[in-house]
Amino acid sequence: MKDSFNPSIEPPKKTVTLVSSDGYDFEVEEEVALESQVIKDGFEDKAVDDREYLLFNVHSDTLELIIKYCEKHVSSRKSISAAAASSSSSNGEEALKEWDEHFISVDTNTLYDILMAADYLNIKSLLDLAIQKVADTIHGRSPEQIRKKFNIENDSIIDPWASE
Amino acid sequence: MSLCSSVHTGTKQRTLEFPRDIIHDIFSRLPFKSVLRLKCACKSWYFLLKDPDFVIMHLNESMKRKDDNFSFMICNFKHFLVDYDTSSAKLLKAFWVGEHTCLYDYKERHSILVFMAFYLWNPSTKEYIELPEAFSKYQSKYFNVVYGFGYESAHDEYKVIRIRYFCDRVGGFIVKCYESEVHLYSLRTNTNKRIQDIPHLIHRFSNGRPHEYGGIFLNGAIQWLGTVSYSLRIVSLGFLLTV
Repeated sequence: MKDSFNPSIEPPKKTVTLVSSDGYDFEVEEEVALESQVIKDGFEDKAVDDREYLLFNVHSDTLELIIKYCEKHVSSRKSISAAAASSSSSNGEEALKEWDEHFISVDTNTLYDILMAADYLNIKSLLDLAIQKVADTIHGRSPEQIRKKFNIENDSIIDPWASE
Repeated sequence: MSLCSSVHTGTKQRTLEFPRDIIHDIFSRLPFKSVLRLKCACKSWYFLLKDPDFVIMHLNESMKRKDDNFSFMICNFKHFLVDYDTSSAKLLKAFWVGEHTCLYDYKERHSILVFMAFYLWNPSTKEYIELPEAFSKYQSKYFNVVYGFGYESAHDEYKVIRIRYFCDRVGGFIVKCYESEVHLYSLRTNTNKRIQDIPHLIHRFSNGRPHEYGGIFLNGAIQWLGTVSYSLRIVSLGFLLTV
């Protein structure tokens, strides 16, 4: 399945079931699920009729977003490589970047959930996106603003090196 | 180590605990200044940001990004000097912060930082030089250092004065003091010159912040407050750079 991205070969649509921590089933296409390195590892060893994954750490609200992200990335990659094959001009990568930016513009709680799920499922590009978003959120903010944003208790130590 | 924040979701309070390597990753994407600010946000971040593993990671990340050409980082009393142009991070000599470390921000004229570890740095041009080690006959003894940095207009020269006070210590207490040793460094010739000792003891004043050992450059001379030997009489000392 490693070369499933060759657009000239249409693989048959196989599905995988992902079960969220609160017990909801999500049926997704195999290639979408394989965006997760954790699922990909050992995927071939699993029996075809046993392709169900219990994701104890991912709530259905978050899983829905994660699936949305993976589906978008799978389809975008296809259209980008299709455009490259027909050598027609495409701004697919830029459009995907914009989509990512919009996707990750969520409240702190949701951002945290997405980040943790991406880490748990080992979806590198999504984890990178979420970490960068948290860093951007912190960047340029005063300690007070950061505490407010992340609801952190103020137990700070006065550090002479921290003054500017 | 976990992130110390908790967030309200509706009425339920929830603790956000990022794994340690994730926090490292987040912080290492921030420029030096932001990281310094984060130290004040809360206790667990403060300790995290002092972690040597983090410091090394941050150096490597910012070198990759080249977001600044040059930076000092201080961690567990160790100074790291980073030169982004040559992509090298190097560990400077270790000193105890507050005791043997001096950071003097000479903003008024040329924005040059004088580091106790004998580096002269110009943040505007990102240039730096390591000052040559001044010879001392008391190498093995403890010593305290005070220094000053100034400009001598007559010869258009920048000079650094370093005064070392040698002493013996037992259990952290000074039990015997030797004489001072005064070296004058000239940036133009890049040489040290030993000059006349001074009979005054220069004090660290105020709250122990690191730069208190630095003299103030004023009217062509570097100024300190000191006492005559160990008496309580405080005198103002001026060192004329034309000496």
